[in-house]
Amino acid sequence: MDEYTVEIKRTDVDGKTRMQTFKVPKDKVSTVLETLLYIKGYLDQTLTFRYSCGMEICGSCGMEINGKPHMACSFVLDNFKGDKILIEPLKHFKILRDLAVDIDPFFDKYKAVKPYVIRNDDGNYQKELLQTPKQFDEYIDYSMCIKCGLCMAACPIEGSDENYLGPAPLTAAWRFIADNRDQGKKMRLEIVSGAEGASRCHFAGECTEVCPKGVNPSFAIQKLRSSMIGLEFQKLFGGK
Amino acid sequence: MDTIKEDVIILGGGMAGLRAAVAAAEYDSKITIGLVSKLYPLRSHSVAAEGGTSAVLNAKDSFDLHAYDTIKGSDYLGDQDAIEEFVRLVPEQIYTTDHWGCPWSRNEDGTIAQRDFGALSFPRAVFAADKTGFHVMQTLYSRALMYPNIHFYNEYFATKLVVENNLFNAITTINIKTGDFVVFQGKSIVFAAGGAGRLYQFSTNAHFVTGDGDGIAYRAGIPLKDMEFMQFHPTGLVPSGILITEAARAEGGILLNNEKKRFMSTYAPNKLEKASRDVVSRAIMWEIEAGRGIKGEYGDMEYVYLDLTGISNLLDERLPMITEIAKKFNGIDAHTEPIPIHPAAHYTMGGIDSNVKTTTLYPNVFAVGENACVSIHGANRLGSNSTNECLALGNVAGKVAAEWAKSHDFASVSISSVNDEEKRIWEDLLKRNGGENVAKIRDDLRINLDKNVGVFRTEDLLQQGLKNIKSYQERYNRITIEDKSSKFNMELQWALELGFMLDLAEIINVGAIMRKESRGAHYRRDFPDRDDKNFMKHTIASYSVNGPQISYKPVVKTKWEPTVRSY
Amino acid sequence: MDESVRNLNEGVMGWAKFYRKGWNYFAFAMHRFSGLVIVFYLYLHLFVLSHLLSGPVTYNELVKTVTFGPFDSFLVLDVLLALVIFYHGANGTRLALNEFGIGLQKNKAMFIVFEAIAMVILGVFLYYAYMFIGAS
Repeated sequence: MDEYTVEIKRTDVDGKTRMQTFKVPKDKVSTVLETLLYIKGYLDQTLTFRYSCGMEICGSCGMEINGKPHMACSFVLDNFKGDKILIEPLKHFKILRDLAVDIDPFFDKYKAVKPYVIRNDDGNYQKELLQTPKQFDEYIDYSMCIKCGLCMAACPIEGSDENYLGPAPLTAAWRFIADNRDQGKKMRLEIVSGAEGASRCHFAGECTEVCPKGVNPSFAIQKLRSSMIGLEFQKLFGGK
Repeated sequence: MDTIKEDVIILGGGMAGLRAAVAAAEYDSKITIGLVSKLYPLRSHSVAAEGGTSAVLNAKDSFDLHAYDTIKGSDYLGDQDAIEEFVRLVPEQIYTTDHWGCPWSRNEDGTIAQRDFGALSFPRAVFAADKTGFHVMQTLYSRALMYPNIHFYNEYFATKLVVENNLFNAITTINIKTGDFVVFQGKSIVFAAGGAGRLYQFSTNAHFVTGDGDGIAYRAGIPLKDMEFMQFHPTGLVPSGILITEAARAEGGILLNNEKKRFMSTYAPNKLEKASRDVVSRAIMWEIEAGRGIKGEYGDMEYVYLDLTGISNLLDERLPMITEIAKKFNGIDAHTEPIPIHPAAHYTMGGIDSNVKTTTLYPNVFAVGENACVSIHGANRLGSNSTNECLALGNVAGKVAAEWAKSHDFASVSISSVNDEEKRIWEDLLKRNGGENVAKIRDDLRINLDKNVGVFRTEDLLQQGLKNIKSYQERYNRITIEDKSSKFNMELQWALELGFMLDLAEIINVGAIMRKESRGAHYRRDFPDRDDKNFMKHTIASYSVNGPQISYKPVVKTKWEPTVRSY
Repeated sequence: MDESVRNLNEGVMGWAKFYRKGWNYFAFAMHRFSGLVIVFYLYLHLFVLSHLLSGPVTYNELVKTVTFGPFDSFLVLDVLLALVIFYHGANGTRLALNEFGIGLQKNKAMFIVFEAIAMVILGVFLYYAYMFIGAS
C-alpha cells in the first residue's frame, strides 16, 4: 500500500462528533503532523489542530494517536508498522474543535503551584548564584517539561477528578523545591499537600510512560510526598 | 467588536516579548500589560533556540572583543554604536535569569559555564545544555506568572496596527478560539513577533514564524530594514529541517562530503567548521554543487554529513537534544553515525527599522528581538547573539514602553480604520471565491524563495523570483477559504499570514535585486565581492500601494574600519 | 452528555480502559478492581458469619446450601478470591515500597517480579488447601 488511511475524530463547533477517513500518499509525509498539515492544506481545509515547532520542544501538538497520547510531530511514520492511523483529541481536556482542546485549565493548575524561584532578594543581580553540578543534577531532569499535557491525558485520576493538580504541575512544584536557589519549599508543599494535591496520585505511572521528554512525574510526586511527610513530622515535634 | 484596554501592549509571547512584559511589570506595578500572542507563549519559536547566548562574563574576555566579533560577523553592516551598547547590557541579563531559576550549565565550582561557538574569538556562549532557548523561555514565562498586572491574551491573531497622527492607538486582532474581532487599545506597543523564516520551504523555524509582526508594521507605514539578509543555518537536519545546533560544530563536530573528506579547510582555513554561518552554509552549497554531496534516502535533497562520532563522549551531557532528535526523527545514533544536514533558512536579520533604544518611526511603537533590526546583526548574525538580544533589548523595550504609558493617556481609537479592517477580513477575505488554495500558494511561494532567493543569488534568479511572487500576489486575490466557521478558523489565519508573507517576500526580493554586492548572508554570484563604497548602507523598505519603496540609510561606524573578512 | 465534556471527564469507567495502555495502567486498574472485590468479600463474610448469632442450626443450614450445591461453585470462587488477594497484596507491597522511594525507577520490573512471587505462593497455598479439603 502506498497510502495511509487516517481516521480522525472530528468535533465541529456545535459539539457534534463524527469520524472521518482520509487517504494520504506515503511519499508526501513522514510524521503525523505532516500528515495533518497535508490533509488541512489539500484535502479538507476545515480540519483544526494545534502545532508549532515540529521538533517536539514547544508542546503544541499533543493528541491521541492509535489510542495513546503522543506528540504528532515526533510520531515518525517510518517506525510505525501499518497503514491505519487513528487520531483523536487529547483526553481529559475539553474539546474546542476537532483536535484542538482547551488547555487553559492545565496552565491554571501549573500557575497554582507557584512555578518560579521564590527568594528574598533586592533585585540586584551582579553575580550568579553558585550551584554545583551535583545540585544542578537534583532538579534538571524535572525542568525538561514542555507543558504538552500528555501526562494529564494519560493520568487515570485526572479522568475522574478534573480538579486534581495532575502530574505536570506537581512535577513543576518539585522542580523548584529541588532547586537550591529557591526558598519557597514550605509555601509550595502547603499547596501540593491539599486534597487535590500529591496525595491523590495512585501511582499508575502512566505519566512517566507517555512523557515525550523523559521527565519522570511519578517519581517527582513520590518525592513530594516524602517531603510532605517530613514537614508533617516537623510540625508534630514543634519544629518550624 | 470588543475593546480591551491595556496600558502597554506586547505583541508576541516569545523571549523578547516575555522579557519586555516582565520589565514593564517591574517598572511599575500599576501599569497593566497585555501580552497578545497568536500562540501560547511557551509555543513560540524561541523555545527552539539551542546552542547558547553570548555574554562577557570572564575577566579575560572584553566587551570590545564581543563587539568586534559581532561587527566582523555582520560583515560591517552592523551599527557599531548600537553593538557597543548592546554587549554591555548582556551580562546583567544572564545573572538576572539565573536568579529567576534558569538552569544555566555550570562549572565544577558552581559558576556559570561558557563554551565556544561559531566565529567567536573567546568561548563566551553561556548555555543550558543544548536547550538554551527552551530553558530561558520557561524561566521567563514562570516569572511573568508572578506579576498580577501581566495579562495573557493567548491565541489572538493581530491583523492591523491602527495609527493616527503618527501615534499608535490600537491593534486589531481575531480571537482565534471564539472568532471574535477584538481591538486592543493601548498607550504603547512593543513589537516582538519574531522573524519570517517560514518564507522558505526548508527552514529550521516553527510553522508559525511567518513574519506577521514585520508585515503589520510595514502596512502601518513603519519602514523595514535590511530584509534581504536572511540567514541560512548550515546544519538543518534532512529532511525535516530541524535545527542541529552550531554548538555541535563548536564542540568539535566536523563536516564531511561524500568522499568522507573534511572540506572546510578549503573555505575557512583558520576557523574551519567554526566559521560564521554564512561562510559555512556557502561552503556546503559549493560542495554539493561540485557533486560532492550525498543523495540517497531522503528524496531529492542532496546533503553533506555532520560527523559527531569524534565527540561522542560529550553528546549526552552537552548536546542531549540533538542526539535525541537524530534518534527520534531519523533513527540515527549520533554516537556512531554521521547526521545528514543541509543549509536551512534560520533567522531574519532584517526587521522593523529600530535602534538600541528599541524606538521606531512612531514614538509609542517599539520593536525588539528578531522582529526588529537594530542593526546589531548587520548582514549576518553571529550564532549565540539572538537570545541575548531578546533578553537585553527586551528589558530596554519593556522599560521604555512602560515609561511612555506612565506619562501619556489613551488616545481615542480611530473607529473608521478599525471598521475597515473588520470589513477587509469578514467581508472581503472570507468571501473571496476564486478557487485558489491558500496552502498551494504558500507552498509555491516557499519553494520559489528556496530556489530563487536562497543562499546563492543572481540577477536572473531574482528577477524570476520577483515575477513569480507577483503572480502569487495576483492568485492571492482569488483565494477561496473553505472554512467558513468563526470558531478556531485556522484557514483564515493561514490566509492572513500568507498576505503578510507575500509582502515580505517581495521586499526581500526587491532588496536583493538592488543590492549589487555580496555581503554576509546575501551572496550574489554576479557580484561576488563586498562593495563598501556603494553598499555599506542599510536598505530601507517603506510601504506604498505599488509595492515597497526602497531607500538607504548609512551605517554607523565608531572604531572598527571595514577590512577583508576571512575565517 | 456533550461529547466535549465526556472527553474532559471519563469518570470511573475510564479506569477500566486499560486495554490500550501500559503495564502500569493495568496494575493500577486491577488494584482498584481487586480492592473492591476484597471489600465485597469482607461484607459477604461478615454476613455469613452473622448467622452464628441465630444459633448453630441456622448457620449450618446456610453453609450447607452455599457450599454443597449441585456443583461446588463456591470453591471455584474461593480460588479466584485467593488470586485477587494475592495480586492485591503483592502490588500493595510494591506500592508501599515505592512510597518510601525504593525501586521507583524500576517499578515495572518490580511489579512483574512481585506478581510472579505472589503467584508461586498462591500455587503453594492452593496445593495445601487442596490437600486440606482432600483430607477432610
